[in-house]
Amino acid sequence: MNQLIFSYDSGNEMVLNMGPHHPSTHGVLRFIIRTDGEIMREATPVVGYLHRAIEKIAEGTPYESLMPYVDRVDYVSAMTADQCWAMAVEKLLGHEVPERAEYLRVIASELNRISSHAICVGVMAMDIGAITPFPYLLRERETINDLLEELCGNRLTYNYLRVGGVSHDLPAGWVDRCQTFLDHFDNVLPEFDRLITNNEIFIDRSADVCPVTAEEAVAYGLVGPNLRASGVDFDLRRDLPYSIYGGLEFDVAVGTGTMGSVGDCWDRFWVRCEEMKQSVRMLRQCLADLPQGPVYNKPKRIRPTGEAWVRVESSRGDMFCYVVGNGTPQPERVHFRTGSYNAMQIVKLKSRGVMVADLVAFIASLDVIAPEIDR
Amino acid sequence: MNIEKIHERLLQHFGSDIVLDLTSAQEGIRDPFITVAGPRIDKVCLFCRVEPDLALDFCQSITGTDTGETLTCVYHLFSYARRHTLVLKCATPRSQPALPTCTGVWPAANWYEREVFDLFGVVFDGHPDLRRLLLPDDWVGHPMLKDYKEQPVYHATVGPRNNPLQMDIPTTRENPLDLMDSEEQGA
Repeated sequence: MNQLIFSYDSGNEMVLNMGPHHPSTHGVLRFIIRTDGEIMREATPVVGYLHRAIEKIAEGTPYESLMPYVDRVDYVSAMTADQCWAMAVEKLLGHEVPERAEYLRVIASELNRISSHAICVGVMAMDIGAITPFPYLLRERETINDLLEELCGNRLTYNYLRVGGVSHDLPAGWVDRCQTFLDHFDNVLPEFDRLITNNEIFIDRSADVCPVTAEEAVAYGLVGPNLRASGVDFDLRRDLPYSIYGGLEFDVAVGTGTMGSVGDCWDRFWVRCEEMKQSVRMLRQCLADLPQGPVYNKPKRIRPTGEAWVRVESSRGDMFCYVVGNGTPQPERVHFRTGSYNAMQIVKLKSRGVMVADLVAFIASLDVIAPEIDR
Repeated sequence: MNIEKIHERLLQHFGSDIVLDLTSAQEGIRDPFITVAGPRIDKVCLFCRVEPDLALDFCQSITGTDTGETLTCVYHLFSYARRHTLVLKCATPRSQPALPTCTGVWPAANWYEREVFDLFGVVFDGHPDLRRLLLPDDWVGHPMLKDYKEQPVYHATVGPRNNPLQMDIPTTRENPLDLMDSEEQGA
Protein backbone atom coordinates (compact mmCIF):
# COMPACT_ATOMS: atom_id res chain seq x y z
CA MET A 1 0.00 0.00 0.00
CA ASN A 2 2.76 2.39 0.96
CA GLN A 3 4.48 1.69 -2.29
CA LEU A 4 1.37 2.67 -4.20
CA ILE A 5 0.88 5.98 -2.45
CA PHE A 6 4.49 7.02 -2.62
CA SER A 7 5.19 5.91 -6.16
CA TYR A 8 5.38 9.58 -7.21
CA ASP A 9 7.43 10.49 -4.17
CA SER A 10 9.80 13.42 -4.47
CA GLY A 11 11.20 14.17 -1.05
CA ASN A 12 8.29 14.49 1.35
CA GLU A 13 5.91 15.55 -1.34
CA MET A 14 3.00 13.48 -2.56
CA VAL A 15 1.12 13.78 -5.82
CA LEU A 16 -2.54 12.96 -5.32
CA ASN A 17 -5.57 12.99 -7.54
CA MET A 18 -8.71 14.73 -6.36
CA GLY A 19 -11.50 13.79 -8.70
CA PRO A 20 -12.64 13.43 -11.47
CA HIS A 21 -15.37 11.83 -9.38
CA HIS A 22 -15.23 13.51 -6.03
CA PRO A 23 -18.27 14.62 -4.03
CA SER A 24 -17.01 18.18 -3.65
CA THR A 25 -15.87 18.88 -7.19
CA HIS A 26 -19.26 19.92 -8.60
CA GLY A 27 -19.41 17.70 -11.62
CA VAL A 28 -16.56 15.92 -13.28
CA LEU A 29 -13.56 17.98 -12.27
CA ARG A 30 -10.06 16.84 -11.44
CA PHE A 31 -7.21 18.39 -9.50
CA ILE A 32 -3.68 17.07 -9.35
CA ILE A 33 -2.49 18.06 -5.89
CA ARG A 34 1.13 18.24 -4.86
CA THR A 35 1.04 18.16 -1.12
CA ASP A 36 3.17 17.66 1.93
CA GLY A 37 0.64 16.58 4.54
CA GLU A 38 -2.33 18.88 4.91
CA ILE A 39 -0.67 21.92 3.30
CA MET A 40 -0.75 21.96 -0.47
CA ARG A 41 2.13 23.05 -2.62
CA GLU A 42 -0.11 23.41 -5.64
CA ALA A 43 -3.37 22.15 -7.10
CA THR A 44 -3.47 21.93 -10.88
CA PRO A 45 -6.96 21.75 -12.38
CA VAL A 46 -7.48 19.27 -15.21
CA VAL A 47 -10.60 19.99 -17.23
CA GLY A 48 -12.23 18.57 -20.32
CA TYR A 49 -14.09 15.57 -18.90
CA LEU A 50 -17.41 17.12 -19.93
CA HIS A 51 -16.35 18.49 -23.30
CA ARG A 52 -19.29 17.99 -25.66
CA ALA A 53 -17.99 20.02 -28.60
CA ILE A 54 -20.99 22.36 -28.55
CA GLU A 55 -19.07 24.89 -30.66
CA LYS A 56 -18.44 22.25 -33.34
CA ILE A 57 -22.04 21.03 -33.21
CA ALA A 58 -23.14 24.64 -33.72
CA GLU A 59 -21.42 24.76 -37.10
CA GLY A 60 -23.86 22.18 -38.44
CA THR A 61 -26.99 23.32 -36.62
CA PRO A 62 -29.41 26.07 -37.69
CA TYR A 63 -29.41 29.15 -35.46
CA GLU A 64 -32.81 28.47 -33.86
CA SER A 65 -32.07 24.79 -33.34
CA LEU A 66 -28.97 25.48 -31.26
CA MET A 67 -31.05 26.75 -28.32
CA PRO A 68 -31.38 23.35 -26.57
CA TYR A 69 -27.63 22.85 -26.86
CA VAL A 70 -26.99 26.26 -25.31
CA ASP A 71 -29.11 25.13 -22.35
CA ARG A 72 -26.48 22.47 -21.75
CA VAL A 73 -23.60 24.94 -21.73
CA ASP A 74 -24.71 25.89 -18.23
CA TYR A 75 -27.47 23.60 -17.03
CA VAL A 76 -27.75 25.18 -13.59
CA SER A 77 -28.55 28.56 -15.10
CA ALA A 78 -29.83 27.67 -18.55
CA MET A 79 -32.08 30.72 -18.90
CA THR A 80 -29.21 33.23 -18.89
CA ALA A 81 -27.24 31.09 -21.33
CA ASP A 82 -30.29 31.05 -23.62
CA GLN A 83 -30.52 34.79 -23.34
CA CYS A 84 -26.87 35.13 -24.34
CA TRP A 85 -27.38 33.09 -27.52
CA ALA A 86 -30.71 34.70 -28.43
CA MET A 87 -29.23 38.18 -28.01
CA ALA A 88 -26.18 37.28 -30.11
CA VAL A 89 -28.32 36.12 -33.05
CA GLU A 90 -30.67 39.08 -32.68
CA LYS A 91 -27.74 41.47 -32.74
CA LEU A 92 -26.37 39.77 -35.85
CA LEU A 93 -29.74 40.02 -37.58
CA GLY A 94 -30.58 43.47 -36.23
CA HIS A 95 -33.86 41.96 -35.02
CA GLU A 96 -36.27 43.60 -32.58
CA VAL A 97 -37.80 41.83 -29.59
CA PRO A 98 -41.29 42.79 -28.30
CA GLU A 99 -41.28 44.59 -24.97
CA ARG A 100 -43.36 41.97 -23.17
CA ALA A 101 -40.91 39.30 -24.29
CA GLU A 102 -38.01 41.30 -22.82
CA TYR A 103 -39.87 41.45 -19.51
CA LEU A 104 -40.57 37.73 -19.58
CA ARG A 105 -36.91 37.03 -20.35
CA VAL A 106 -35.76 39.11 -17.39
CA ILE A 107 -38.36 37.52 -15.08
CA ALA A 108 -37.27 34.04 -16.13
CA SER A 109 -33.55 34.90 -15.88
CA GLU A 110 -33.83 36.43 -12.43
CA LEU A 111 -35.84 33.47 -11.13
CA ASN A 112 -33.16 31.22 -12.57
CA ARG A 113 -30.46 33.35 -10.94
CA ILE A 114 -32.08 32.86 -7.53
CA SER A 115 -32.24 29.09 -8.02
CA SER A 116 -28.65 28.96 -9.29
CA HIS A 117 -27.30 31.04 -6.40
CA ALA A 118 -29.36 28.92 -3.99
CA ILE A 119 -27.55 25.85 -5.27
CA CYS A 120 -24.18 27.61 -4.99
CA VAL A 121 -24.50 28.91 -1.43
CA GLY A 122 -26.24 25.75 -0.23
CA VAL A 123 -23.60 23.49 -1.73
CA MET A 124 -20.80 25.67 -0.39
CA ALA A 125 -22.17 25.31 3.14
CA MET A 126 -22.53 21.57 2.60
CA ASP A 127 -18.98 21.19 1.27
CA ILE A 128 -17.67 22.93 4.37
CA GLY A 129 -19.65 20.56 6.55
CA ALA A 130 -22.98 22.25 7.26
CA ILE A 131 -25.51 19.89 5.74
CA THR A 132 -28.69 21.55 7.02
CA PRO A 133 -28.86 24.78 4.93
CA PHE A 134 -28.75 22.93 1.62
CA PRO A 135 -32.16 21.20 1.80
CA TYR A 136 -33.71 24.46 3.00
CA LEU A 137 -32.64 26.19 -0.21
CA LEU A 138 -33.32 23.14 -2.35
CA ARG A 139 -36.93 23.39 -1.20
CA GLU A 140 -37.14 26.97 -2.51
CA ARG A 141 -35.50 25.90 -5.73
CA GLU A 142 -38.22 23.30 -6.24
CA THR A 143 -40.83 26.07 -6.17
CA ILE A 144 -38.84 28.04 -8.74
CA ASN A 145 -38.54 24.94 -10.91
CA ASP A 146 -42.31 24.51 -10.68
CA LEU A 147 -42.84 28.13 -11.74
CA LEU A 148 -40.46 27.80 -14.68
CA GLU A 149 -42.02 24.46 -15.64
CA GLU A 150 -45.35 26.23 -15.93
CA LEU A 151 -43.73 28.74 -18.25
CA CYS A 152 -42.04 26.39 -20.66
CA GLY A 153 -42.58 22.76 -19.68
CA ASN A 154 -39.03 22.06 -18.55
CA ARG A 155 -37.50 22.13 -15.11
CA LEU A 156 -33.77 22.48 -15.81
CA THR A 157 -32.94 22.90 -19.48
CA TYR A 158 -35.64 25.31 -20.44
CA ASN A 159 -35.41 26.00 -24.18
CA TYR A 160 -37.79 28.90 -23.41
CA LEU A 161 -36.22 31.71 -25.39
CA ARG A 162 -36.51 32.08 -29.14
CA VAL A 163 -34.67 34.31 -31.55
CA GLY A 164 -37.10 37.23 -31.45
CA GLY A 165 -38.91 36.53 -28.19
CA VAL A 166 -40.02 33.67 -25.97
CA SER A 167 -41.94 30.50 -26.78
CA HIS A 168 -45.00 30.92 -24.54
CA ASP A 169 -46.86 33.70 -22.80
CA LEU A 170 -47.57 33.46 -19.06
CA PRO A 171 -50.20 30.91 -18.04
CA ALA A 172 -53.26 32.19 -16.17
CA GLY A 173 -52.59 33.14 -12.55
CA TRP A 174 -48.81 32.80 -12.88
CA VAL A 175 -48.09 36.37 -11.74
CA ASP A 176 -49.99 35.78 -8.51
CA ARG A 177 -48.21 32.50 -7.86
CA CYS A 178 -44.84 34.14 -8.48
CA GLN A 179 -45.82 37.01 -6.16
CA THR A 180 -46.76 34.52 -3.45
CA PHE A 181 -43.39 32.83 -3.83
CA LEU A 182 -41.52 36.15 -3.57
CA ASP A 183 -43.42 37.07 -0.39
CA HIS A 184 -42.50 33.68 1.05
CA PHE A 185 -38.87 33.98 -0.09
CA ASP A 186 -38.47 37.32 1.74
CA ASN A 187 -38.56 35.38 5.00
CA VAL A 188 -36.29 32.60 3.80
CA LEU A 189 -33.15 34.67 3.38
CA PRO A 190 -33.08 36.15 6.92
CA GLU A 191 -33.64 32.62 8.19
CA PHE A 192 -30.76 31.44 6.03
CA ASP A 193 -28.56 34.24 7.39
CA ARG A 194 -29.30 33.15 10.94
CA LEU A 195 -28.67 29.55 10.00
CA ILE A 196 -25.34 29.85 8.22
CA THR A 197 -24.14 33.26 6.96
CA ASN A 198 -23.46 34.60 10.45
CA ASN A 199 -22.66 31.21 11.93
CA GLU A 200 -19.40 31.39 13.85
CA ILE A 201 -18.04 28.04 12.66
CA PHE A 202 -18.90 28.87 9.06
CA ILE A 203 -17.15 32.25 9.35
CA ASP A 204 -14.08 30.53 10.79
CA ARG A 205 -13.99 28.17 7.85
CA SER A 206 -14.55 30.75 5.09
CA ALA A 207 -13.28 34.17 6.23
CA ASP A 208 -9.69 34.95 5.23
CA VAL A 209 -9.56 31.79 3.11
CA CYS A 210 -8.01 32.27 -0.34
CA PRO A 211 -8.60 36.03 -0.67
CA VAL A 212 -8.39 37.24 -4.28
CA THR A 213 -7.32 40.85 -4.68
CA ALA A 214 -8.99 43.15 -7.19
CA GLU A 215 -5.85 43.20 -9.38
CA GLU A 216 -5.65 39.42 -9.49
CA ALA A 217 -9.36 39.14 -10.19
CA VAL A 218 -9.13 41.47 -13.20
CA ALA A 219 -5.89 39.98 -14.54
CA TYR A 220 -7.23 36.42 -14.35
CA GLY A 221 -10.51 37.55 -15.85
CA LEU A 222 -12.82 36.69 -12.96
CA VAL A 223 -16.33 37.87 -13.68
CA GLY A 224 -19.67 38.35 -11.99
CA PRO A 225 -20.08 37.64 -8.28
CA ASN A 226 -16.44 36.48 -7.97
CA LEU A 227 -15.21 39.79 -9.37
CA ARG A 228 -17.55 41.86 -7.23
CA ALA A 229 -16.53 39.94 -4.10
CA SER A 230 -12.97 41.10 -4.78
CA GLY A 231 -14.11 44.71 -4.53
CA VAL A 232 -14.53 45.60 -8.21
CA ASP A 233 -17.82 47.46 -8.52
CA PHE A 234 -18.96 46.26 -11.93
CA ASP A 235 -22.20 44.66 -13.01
CA LEU A 236 -23.15 44.39 -16.67
CA ARG A 237 -26.82 44.82 -15.79
CA ARG A 238 -26.11 48.25 -14.34
CA ASP A 239 -23.00 49.43 -16.21
CA LEU A 240 -23.67 48.19 -19.75
CA PRO A 241 -27.42 47.56 -19.50
CA TYR A 242 -29.10 45.26 -21.98
CA SER A 243 -32.72 44.16 -22.33
CA ILE A 244 -34.78 46.14 -19.77
CA TYR A 245 -32.20 46.21 -16.96
CA GLY A 246 -31.58 49.93 -17.59
CA GLY A 247 -35.05 50.72 -16.21
CA LEU A 248 -34.85 48.57 -13.08
CA GLU A 249 -33.75 49.75 -9.66
CA PHE A 250 -31.32 47.54 -7.82
CA ASP A 251 -28.08 47.69 -5.84
CA VAL A 252 -24.87 45.93 -6.71
CA ALA A 253 -23.33 44.01 -3.82
CA VAL A 254 -19.56 44.46 -3.56
CA GLY A 255 -17.28 42.55 -1.21
CA THR A 256 -15.90 44.62 1.63
CA GLY A 257 -14.13 42.07 3.78
CA THR A 258 -16.69 42.27 6.58
CA MET A 259 -15.54 39.07 8.26
CA GLY A 260 -11.95 38.86 7.08
CA SER A 261 -10.21 40.32 4.06
CA VAL A 262 -11.68 41.55 0.79
CA GLY A 263 -12.30 38.78 -1.72
CA ASP A 264 -12.20 35.85 0.67
CA CYS A 265 -14.59 32.90 0.48
CA TRP A 266 -17.06 34.51 2.87
CA ASP A 267 -17.31 37.60 0.66
CA ARG A 268 -18.08 35.47 -2.38
CA PHE A 269 -20.76 33.68 -0.37
CA TRP A 270 -22.25 36.91 0.92
CA VAL A 271 -22.33 38.61 -2.52
CA ARG A 272 -24.48 35.76 -3.84
CA CYS A 273 -26.84 35.99 -0.87
CA GLU A 274 -27.23 39.72 -1.53
CA GLU A 275 -27.79 39.13 -5.24
CA MET A 276 -30.71 36.85 -4.44
CA LYS A 277 -32.31 39.72 -2.50
CA GLN A 278 -31.72 42.11 -5.42
CA SER A 279 -33.20 39.61 -7.85
CA VAL A 280 -36.35 39.54 -5.75
CA ARG A 281 -36.46 43.34 -5.96
CA MET A 282 -36.08 43.23 -9.75
CA LEU A 283 -38.75 40.54 -10.07
CA ARG A 284 -41.26 42.64 -8.11
CA GLN A 285 -40.67 45.63 -10.41
CA CYS A 286 -40.99 43.49 -13.54
CA LEU A 287 -44.21 41.83 -12.37
CA ALA A 288 -45.71 45.22 -11.50
CA ASP A 289 -44.83 46.88 -14.83
CA LEU A 290 -45.42 43.90 -17.11
CA PRO A 291 -46.79 45.36 -20.37
CA GLN A 292 -49.33 43.70 -22.64
CA GLY A 293 -48.58 42.69 -26.19
CA PRO A 294 -47.05 39.93 -28.32
CA VAL A 295 -44.23 37.77 -26.95
CA TYR A 296 -42.67 36.49 -30.16
CA ASN A 297 -41.56 38.43 -33.22
CA LYS A 298 -40.55 35.57 -35.47
CA PRO A 299 -37.73 36.49 -37.84
CA LYS A 300 -38.63 35.74 -41.47
CA ARG A 301 -35.31 34.37 -42.52
CA ILE A 302 -32.23 33.67 -40.38
CA ARG A 303 -29.30 33.70 -42.77
CA PRO A 304 -27.05 36.44 -41.45
CA THR A 305 -23.62 37.43 -42.61
CA GLY A 306 -20.96 39.24 -40.61
CA GLU A 307 -20.18 38.89 -36.95
CA ALA A 308 -21.31 40.05 -33.53
CA TRP A 309 -20.56 39.45 -29.89
CA VAL A 310 -22.63 39.98 -26.76
CA ARG A 311 -22.07 39.84 -23.04
CA VAL A 312 -24.74 38.81 -20.58
CA GLU A 313 -24.62 38.84 -16.79
CA SER A 314 -25.20 35.16 -16.17
CA SER A 315 -25.44 33.61 -12.70
CA ARG A 316 -21.74 32.83 -12.87
CA GLY A 317 -20.91 36.24 -14.27
CA ASP A 318 -20.20 37.78 -17.61
CA MET A 319 -21.07 35.21 -20.29
CA PHE A 320 -19.62 36.04 -23.67
CA CYS A 321 -20.83 34.80 -27.03
CA TYR A 322 -19.15 35.47 -30.37
CA VAL A 323 -20.99 34.46 -33.50
CA VAL A 324 -19.94 34.65 -37.15
CA GLY A 325 -22.45 34.10 -39.94
CA ASN A 326 -21.80 33.16 -43.55
CA GLY A 327 -25.17 33.61 -45.24
CA THR A 328 -26.32 30.03 -44.70
CA PRO A 329 -28.80 28.79 -42.06
CA GLN A 330 -25.89 27.48 -39.96
CA PRO A 331 -23.35 29.74 -38.26
CA GLU A 332 -19.74 29.76 -39.43
CA ARG A 333 -18.34 29.97 -35.91
CA VAL A 334 -19.80 30.19 -32.42
CA HIS A 335 -17.74 30.73 -29.29
CA PHE A 336 -18.84 30.86 -25.67
CA ARG A 337 -16.63 32.08 -22.86
CA THR A 338 -18.15 31.51 -19.46
CA GLY A 339 -17.61 32.55 -15.87
CA SER A 340 -16.48 29.17 -14.53
CA TYR A 341 -13.80 28.90 -17.21
CA ASN A 342 -12.03 31.99 -15.89
CA ALA A 343 -12.64 31.10 -12.26
CA MET A 344 -10.97 27.73 -12.73
CA GLN A 345 -7.71 29.27 -13.93
CA ILE A 346 -7.07 31.14 -10.70
CA VAL A 347 -7.24 27.93 -8.60
CA LYS A 348 -3.65 27.03 -9.42
CA LEU A 349 -2.38 30.42 -8.25
CA LYS A 350 -4.43 30.62 -5.07
CA SER A 351 -3.97 26.99 -3.97
CA ARG A 352 -0.31 27.45 -3.00
CA GLY A 353 0.15 26.95 0.72
CA VAL A 354 -3.53 26.27 1.39
CA MET A 355 -5.00 23.37 3.38
CA VAL A 356 -6.65 20.63 1.32
CA ALA A 357 -9.94 21.22 3.17
CA ASP A 358 -9.79 24.91 2.27
CA LEU A 359 -9.39 24.08 -1.41
CA VAL A 360 -12.86 22.53 -1.21
CA ALA A 361 -14.22 25.75 0.28
CA PHE A 362 -12.45 27.79 -2.37
CA ILE A 363 -13.80 25.81 -5.35
CA ALA A 364 -17.30 25.90 -3.89
CA SER A 365 -17.12 29.66 -3.32
CA LEU A 366 -16.09 30.24 -6.96
CA ASP A 367 -19.34 28.50 -8.01
CA VAL A 368 -17.61 26.40 -10.63
CA ILE A 369 -19.88 24.32 -12.84
CA ALA A 370 -17.89 21.77 -14.84
CA PRO A 371 -20.00 21.66 -18.04
CA GLU A 372 -19.64 25.40 -18.35
CA ILE A 373 -15.85 25.11 -18.42
CA ASP A 374 -15.73 22.33 -20.98
CA ARG A 375 -18.74 23.19 -23.13
CA MET B 1 -12.60 56.16 -26.48
CA ASN B 2 -14.19 54.88 -29.67
CA ILE B 3 -12.48 52.46 -31.99
CA GLU B 4 -11.51 55.10 -34.58
CA LYS B 5 -9.50 56.96 -31.96
CA ILE B 6 -7.93 53.74 -30.67
CA HIS B 7 -6.98 52.88 -34.25
CA GLU B 8 -5.33 56.30 -34.73
CA ARG B 9 -3.50 55.93 -31.43
CA LEU B 10 -2.18 52.49 -32.38
CA LEU B 11 -1.21 53.69 -35.87
CA GLN B 12 0.81 56.57 -34.38
CA HIS B 13 2.74 54.24 -32.13
CA PHE B 14 3.25 51.19 -34.31
CA GLY B 15 2.96 52.43 -37.90
CA SER B 16 0.94 51.01 -40.73
CA ASP B 17 3.16 47.90 -41.12
CA ILE B 18 1.94 46.45 -37.84
CA VAL B 19 -1.49 47.97 -37.35
CA LEU B 20 -3.43 47.29 -40.51
CA ASP B 21 -6.88 48.51 -41.44
CA LEU B 22 -9.94 49.20 -39.38
CA THR B 23 -13.13 47.43 -40.43
CA SER B 24 -15.88 49.68 -39.20
CA ALA B 25 -19.44 48.76 -38.35
CA GLN B 26 -21.43 48.19 -41.54
CA GLU B 27 -24.05 45.85 -42.90
CA GLY B 28 -23.54 42.54 -41.10
CA ILE B 29 -20.44 43.55 -39.14
CA ARG B 30 -22.08 44.65 -35.88
CA ASP B 31 -18.82 45.24 -34.05
CA PRO B 32 -15.87 47.00 -35.68
CA PHE B 33 -12.44 45.41 -35.44
CA ILE B 34 -8.80 46.26 -36.10
CA THR B 35 -6.54 43.91 -38.04
CA VAL B 36 -3.01 43.54 -36.72
CA ALA B 37 0.07 41.82 -38.18
CA GLY B 38 0.30 38.42 -36.46
CA PRO B 39 3.96 38.39 -35.33
CA ARG B 40 3.51 41.64 -33.37
CA ILE B 41 0.20 40.91 -31.67
CA ASP B 42 1.84 40.57 -28.23
CA LYS B 43 3.41 44.04 -28.48
CA VAL B 44 0.10 45.59 -29.55
CA CYS B 45 -1.71 43.82 -26.71
CA LEU B 46 0.84 44.95 -24.14
CA PHE B 47 0.48 48.54 -25.36
CA CYS B 48 -3.32 48.29 -25.10
CA ARG B 49 -2.99 46.93 -21.58
CA VAL B 50 -0.52 49.42 -20.07
CA GLU B 51 -1.33 52.75 -21.75
CA PRO B 52 -3.43 54.71 -19.25
CA ASP B 53 -5.83 56.09 -21.87
CA LEU B 54 -6.50 52.60 -23.30
CA ALA B 55 -6.23 50.48 -20.11
CA LEU B 56 -7.75 47.35 -21.68
CA ASP B 57 -7.26 45.25 -18.56
CA PHE B 58 -9.86 42.52 -19.13
CA CYS B 59 -9.18 39.98 -21.86
CA GLN B 60 -12.69 38.70 -22.50
CA SER B 61 -11.80 36.03 -24.97
CA ILE B 62 -9.18 34.81 -27.39
CA THR B 63 -10.54 32.52 -30.01
CA GLY B 64 -9.83 31.27 -33.50
CA THR B 65 -11.77 31.09 -36.73
CA ASP B 66 -10.95 29.00 -39.75
CA THR B 67 -11.32 31.32 -42.73
CA GLY B 68 -10.13 28.88 -45.37
CA GLU B 69 -6.74 30.17 -46.44
CA THR B 70 -5.61 31.40 -43.03
CA LEU B 71 -6.48 30.91 -39.40
CA THR B 72 -7.64 34.12 -37.77
CA CYS B 73 -7.32 34.74 -34.04
CA VAL B 74 -9.81 37.17 -32.51
CA TYR B 75 -9.01 39.08 -29.31
CA HIS B 76 -11.91 40.68 -27.44
CA LEU B 77 -10.70 43.23 -24.90
CA PHE B 78 -12.51 45.42 -22.41
CA SER B 79 -11.49 48.20 -20.04
CA TYR B 80 -13.09 48.37 -16.60
CA ALA B 81 -11.81 51.89 -16.01
CA ARG B 82 -12.73 53.42 -19.40
CA ARG B 83 -15.65 51.13 -20.27
CA HIS B 84 -14.61 50.70 -23.88
CA THR B 85 -14.16 47.57 -25.95
CA LEU B 86 -11.65 46.63 -28.62
CA VAL B 87 -11.62 43.73 -31.05
CA LEU B 88 -8.27 42.78 -32.59
CA LYS B 89 -7.81 40.22 -35.33
CA CYS B 90 -4.65 38.70 -36.69
CA ALA B 91 -4.14 36.06 -39.33
CA THR B 92 -1.61 33.26 -39.35
CA PRO B 93 -0.79 30.89 -42.21
CA ARG B 94 -2.67 27.61 -42.18
CA SER B 95 0.39 25.52 -43.05
CA GLN B 96 2.37 26.60 -39.96
CA PRO B 97 0.05 28.53 -37.64
CA ALA B 98 2.07 30.38 -35.00
CA LEU B 99 1.56 33.55 -32.97
CA PRO B 100 3.41 35.09 -30.01
CA THR B 101 1.78 34.48 -26.66
CA CYS B 102 -0.09 37.07 -24.60
CA THR B 103 0.21 35.23 -21.29
CA GLY B 104 2.62 37.92 -20.09
CA VAL B 105 0.01 40.58 -20.75
CA TRP B 106 -3.02 38.89 -19.18
CA PRO B 107 -2.61 35.70 -17.11
CA ALA B 108 -6.13 34.81 -18.26
CA ALA B 109 -4.75 34.28 -21.77
CA ASN B 110 -3.08 31.07 -20.61
CA TRP B 111 -6.15 28.85 -20.97
CA TYR B 112 -7.60 30.82 -23.90
CA GLU B 113 -4.46 30.11 -25.90
CA ARG B 114 -4.34 26.49 -24.81
CA GLU B 115 -7.88 26.09 -26.05
CA VAL B 116 -7.05 27.68 -29.43
CA PHE B 117 -4.01 25.40 -29.69
CA ASP B 118 -6.16 22.40 -28.80
CA LEU B 119 -8.98 23.09 -31.22
CA PHE B 120 -7.18 24.90 -34.07
CA GLY B 121 -3.52 23.91 -33.75
CA VAL B 122 -2.17 27.46 -33.47
CA VAL B 123 1.21 27.33 -31.71
CA PHE B 124 1.71 30.21 -29.29
CA ASP B 125 5.44 30.92 -29.07
CA GLY B 126 6.61 31.52 -25.52
CA HIS B 127 3.54 30.01 -23.86
CA PRO B 128 4.61 28.47 -20.52
CA ASP B 129 2.37 25.40 -20.66
CA LEU B 130 1.09 24.76 -24.17
CA ARG B 131 -0.81 21.48 -23.81
CA ARG B 132 -4.24 20.37 -24.90
CA LEU B 133 -6.94 21.72 -22.59
CA LEU B 134 -10.30 20.18 -23.49
CA LEU B 135 -9.35 17.10 -25.49
CA PRO B 136 -7.29 14.13 -24.28
CA ASP B 137 -3.52 14.45 -24.60
CA ASP B 138 -3.29 11.68 -27.19
CA TRP B 139 -5.99 13.06 -29.47
CA VAL B 140 -5.00 13.39 -33.12
CA GLY B 141 -5.86 16.53 -35.06
CA HIS B 142 -7.53 19.84 -34.29
CA PRO B 143 -11.31 19.45 -34.52
CA MET B 144 -12.41 23.03 -35.14
CA LEU B 145 -10.61 23.14 -38.49
CA LYS B 146 -13.13 22.94 -41.31
CA ASP B 147 -11.31 20.07 -43.04
CA TYR B 148 -10.92 18.01 -39.86
CA LYS B 149 -11.53 14.30 -40.22
CA GLU B 150 -12.20 12.35 -37.05
CA GLN B 151 -9.88 9.41 -36.47
CA PRO B 152 -11.70 6.13 -37.18
CA VAL B 153 -10.94 4.52 -33.81
CA TYR B 154 -9.93 6.13 -30.52
CA HIS B 155 -9.02 3.69 -27.72
CA ALA B 156 -11.33 1.02 -29.13
CA THR B 157 -14.19 3.52 -29.45
CA VAL B 158 -15.38 3.73 -33.02
CA GLY B 159 -15.46 7.36 -34.04
CA PRO B 160 -17.60 8.53 -36.93
CA ARG B 161 -20.78 6.62 -37.47
CA ASN B 162 -22.72 6.56 -40.71
CA ASN B 163 -25.86 8.59 -40.93
CA PRO B 164 -28.66 6.00 -41.01
CA LEU B 165 -30.72 8.25 -43.26
CA GLN B 166 -27.96 8.23 -45.88
CA MET B 167 -27.08 4.57 -45.60
CA ASP B 168 -27.85 2.34 -48.52
CA ILE B 169 -29.67 -0.47 -46.76
CA PRO B 170 -30.38 -3.42 -49.06
CA THR B 171 -34.03 -4.39 -48.92
CA THR B 172 -35.82 -7.24 -50.55
CA ARG B 173 -38.89 -5.18 -51.31
CA GLU B 174 -39.15 -1.69 -52.76
CA ASN B 175 -41.64 -0.35 -50.27
CA PRO B 176 -42.61 -1.67 -46.83
CA LEU B 177 -46.22 -0.82 -47.65
CA ASP B 178 -46.13 -3.49 -50.36
CA LEU B 179 -45.53 -6.04 -47.65
CA MET B 180 -48.66 -4.93 -45.80
CA ASP B 181 -50.70 -5.09 -48.97
CA SER B 182 -49.59 -8.59 -49.81
CA GLU B 183 -50.24 -9.79 -46.25
CA GLU B 184 -53.71 -8.33 -46.36
CA GLN B 185 -54.36 -10.00 -49.66
CA GLY B 186 -53.13 -13.32 -48.32
CA ALA B 187 -55.45 -13.03 -45.36
